[in-house]
Parts: sequence; C-alpha cells; structure tokens
Amino acid sequence: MTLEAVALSVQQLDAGYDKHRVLINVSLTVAGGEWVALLGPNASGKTTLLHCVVGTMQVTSGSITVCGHSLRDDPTRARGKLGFACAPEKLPALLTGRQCLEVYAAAKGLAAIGADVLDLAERFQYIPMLDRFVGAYSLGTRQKLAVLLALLGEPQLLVLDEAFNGLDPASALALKHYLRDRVAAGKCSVLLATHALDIVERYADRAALLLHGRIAHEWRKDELAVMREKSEEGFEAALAAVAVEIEGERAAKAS
Amino acid sequence: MDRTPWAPLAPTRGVPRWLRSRPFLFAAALLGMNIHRRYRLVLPAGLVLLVIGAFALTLPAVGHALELAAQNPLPSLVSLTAACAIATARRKGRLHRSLVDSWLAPLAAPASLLARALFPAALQLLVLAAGLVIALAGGSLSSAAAITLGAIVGGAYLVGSAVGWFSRQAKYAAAPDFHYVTVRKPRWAWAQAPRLEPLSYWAIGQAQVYVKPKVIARAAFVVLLSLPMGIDGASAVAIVAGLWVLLYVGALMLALLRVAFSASRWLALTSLNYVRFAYAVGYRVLLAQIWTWAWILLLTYATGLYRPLRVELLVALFSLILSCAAVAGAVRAAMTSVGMRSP
Repeated sequence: MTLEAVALSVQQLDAGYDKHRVLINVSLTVAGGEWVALLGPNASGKTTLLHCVVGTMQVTSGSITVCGHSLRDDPTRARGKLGFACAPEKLPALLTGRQCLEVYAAAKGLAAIGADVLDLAERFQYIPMLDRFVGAYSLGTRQKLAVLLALLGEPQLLVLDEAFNGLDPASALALKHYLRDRVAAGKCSVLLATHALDIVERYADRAALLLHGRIAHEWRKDELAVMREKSEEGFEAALAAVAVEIEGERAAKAS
Repeated sequence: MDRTPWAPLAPTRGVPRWLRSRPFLFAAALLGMNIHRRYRLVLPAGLVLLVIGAFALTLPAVGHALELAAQNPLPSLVSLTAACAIATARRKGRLHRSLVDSWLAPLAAPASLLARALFPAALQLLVLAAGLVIALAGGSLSSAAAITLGAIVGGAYLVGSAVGWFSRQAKYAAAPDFHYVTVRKPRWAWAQAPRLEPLSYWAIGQAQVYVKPKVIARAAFVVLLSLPMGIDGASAVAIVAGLWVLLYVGALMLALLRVAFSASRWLALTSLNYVRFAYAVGYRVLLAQIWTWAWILLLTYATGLYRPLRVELLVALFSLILSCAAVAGAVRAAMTSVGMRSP
C-alpha cells in the first residue's frame, strides 16, 4: 500500500450549528506519514473539525480532501481511506465486542481482521471482554474497542478524538507505540485531538492550536523542540503561555 | 462454533454477503438476536402476548368491533393513515440522525435508509394481516368485513408511509430540542445564596420540549381529521384548544416524572430531604397548571358557557390533585431508587 503525499487537506472550512459558527476559515494539512496533534481549550471546535473531516457533519463552506478524494464529490472513496474512533458512549450496548468488530470488518470488506490489530488487542488485554455485551464495559474498555474499530482495514488516515481518555497507562503506552510505529513506517497518518501534551511533546510531528474556531498557531517538530528547551516550567507551561498570548492579542484587536 | 478468541469472523458464516456489506442492517439483525440472549424473558413473554392477542381476536365482542370498523371505513382509514404518516415521518427523522451520530456513521458503506424505513412498517402490516386472518378463521369476522379491513389497512399503510416520508424534510444536523426553551437570566445572588430554584424550571423546560410546535402540529392534525362532519367553527376551535391544554398538562406531568428520576440520579450523593426535593421539582409545575386552568376557566366564564365551566372546573381539580399525587409519588420512588433518604 502506498501512502498519498497529502493524507488530509482542509481548505477554508466553515461549519456550525444553526446560526452559531463553530469553525471559521480553518485550513489544515496532514502529510502522508505525519502525526498531527490538534490542541485547544474545551469548546474550541476540535471535535467539530474532526466530525467535518469524517463527513458526519455538514460544512457551510470550504473543502475537505482525504487522500486525494474530495469528501463532497466522492464521499465513499474518501471515507474508505479513513479510520475514526467514535465516542465510546455511541457504541451499541446490546452487541458484544466481537460482533462490533465483525460488523465493522464486514462493512469494510475485510476477509479477516489484521494481525497488527489483533496484536494490539492482546496488548490492550481486551480478549477476555470479546464476548461480553458492550453495555457491560467500563469507559476504558469501550475506548479500546472504539480504537480497534478505527484501526480495522489499515486506514491511511486515522482520526482520533481524545482516544487516550480512560485508557490505563499500559494500554495508552501500547497505543502510542503502535501509532508511532505505523506512522514511522509510512503506513498511515494521524490526526489526533488531545489535551495530553506528553503525546504532542514525544510523538507528534506537528501541532495546531485551535482557538475560537480558528487555527491560531501551528508548530513544526523543530519548533516544538525549541519551545520545550526554552521553557523552564516545561512544555505545558510554554504551550499555555502561547495560547494566552494569542488570546490577549485577539482581545486587544477586538477592543 | 469455534470459541477461540480470534476465530475469524466466525458468527458471520452463513450470513448473506449483501447483509454483511450493509452494516446498519447487519448490526440491527445482531441486536435483534441479542435481545433474547440478554433478556431471556422477552421472547417467551412476546409469544404469550401473541397467543393472548390471537385468542382475543376470536372473541365475539372484538369481532363486533371490527365489523363496526369495516362498516364505517372512513374514520378507520383516516386515523390509520395519519398514525402511519406520523410514525414514518418520525422514523425518517431518526434514520437521518443516525447518519450523523451512529457508531456506524463514519463507515464508507450503504446506510440502507429505505430498507430500514420499510421493514418496521412491513412487519406491522404483516401482524395486522395475520390478526385479520385469525379473526376470520376464528369465525368472529365475516369475509366481507375482513376484505374491507384488509383494504383499509393496506391503503392506509401505502398512503400513510408515502405521506410521512415525503412530508418530512431530511435534515443533516437537527436543531437541538432545547432550542424551544427560553434561557432565563440568573438571579443576581445565585453565587452568594444558592437555592434549589433552577430545579423547578427543569420540568417546565422539559414540558416545553414535549409540546414543541412540530409535535403539537401532528397531534392537532389527527384531532382535526377526527372532528365530526358538520361541526361549527367555534366548537372546532374549542375542541382544538381543549386538546392543547390537555396535552400541555399531560406534558407537564410526564416531565415531572422524568425530571424527578433524572434529578435524583444527579443529586443522589447530597443530603437533600424529601420535602425540599418534592417542593423544588413540583411547585412550578403546579403553578403552571394553576395558571393555565385559571385562564381557561376565566375565558369560559367570560364567554358565558356555564355548562362546560362545571366540567372544566372538575377536570382542573382532578388534574391538580393528580399532579400533587404524581409529585409525591414520583419523588418518593425516585429517591428510593437511588438510595436517597429523608433525614
């Protein structure tokens, strides 16, 4: 499988609910084999952006292209390149984990579930839960299933929304290593919305800060490294300082 | 069946390929099968109900009622068509919402909208047809009446499904339900002197969601269709207004029950006692009802309709007593269900 040079291209995207504009003129690119972290405070539009990217939310204007396929003109092919971890509470309570995996695998036309996904499931210690009803799962176990579903079929672009929430440390580490290895091998790209700055610090190739529905700032890997070294109080404080500075500039402009 | 952990796609063996490639239908089929696995009593209870229903259809009284319906086909046809249209329109709304918020929504696979819309209607039609056949075979229904009723049911489902499907515009992202509820200004002292007051607005807000215009419009549509021929305009308006009041009062009571249980789950770990909880949940609901009934009684009195006034007064009193009992009972049950105790 060859990876596209550009896994995701979002151009001048506007989206919202009724009259409330959530995303304003957002442009973002994820290259093939790149891990991009999407940062931002609560209610800044991260989840909305991800839902636009996977096609479960209608955009007001702008364009989204996934691996060269326009989401508007060719949604089936574009979505076929995607893997999205849905919110854990949306998984069906009356299906077992095995049935959920089967439904997803069958829908993606897979004859069998990939060995790497099975291996990750074992590292998640998920196997004893396979034949239990999802309704009986804890938040962490649901999250594991949502991630495994997203990984089925070797998608070229993985879209993850707070995918590490609720995972135990061992499972979170297993997932980080799994994603890092796949990205490094050029097998997929990752767009991850997260508040976990250790992931940005150690694993992401690039980070984008979403503030009030706009991409306020982007950092390359080398810029992230410089910022990390400059800050005495750590990476978290450095990022927070940048966000506060941008917010201050915005407020000054507005006034 | 092979029970090794990763028996590849084991239970899908024997499942047709067309079903496997349609995740919404495949998941629904698995869900249907799992209901029996999860709730062992559902299937036997369903079968018992079916047998009781089949037996009831052979009774002379039921047969007589069916004969009457066949002799007066218009009301049966209109009400069944309206019910089917409403059910189809609501089903369409649910189906379109699933394209946005289902766990299967991000998949690049068919959403099977038409099949998912038609299947429940087809199943209902099958059950109704089976009921007619049983009544016919049991001798409680004549063949002429059975044919008439069959035509009514078939026609109503055909027309109702089409009307329901095409009357509702497909919305990609629906407006949230609380869109209909007014957001009030907070009390100025909310932080210095917090009170349970917001809890009392919860039930009112919930009731406003229940009586949002699109729901009322459909219910009113059914009532308008069932108005007798030759009725004068004033009476028709009075019937519709009466229906609206009853719907609102009903919505308030339903909201009260729902809010009592939701709030108790939320407040389970607090030391809130029964009286304060019941007062906070119920007092605005009762006030809203008193206000509504006062207006209705006043308007009826002003128009000089003294006979309906007595009926209204009785209904109002009954509704208020019922609401007080509902507040007391619902709050008690809700508190008990989450282990809240009144000190």
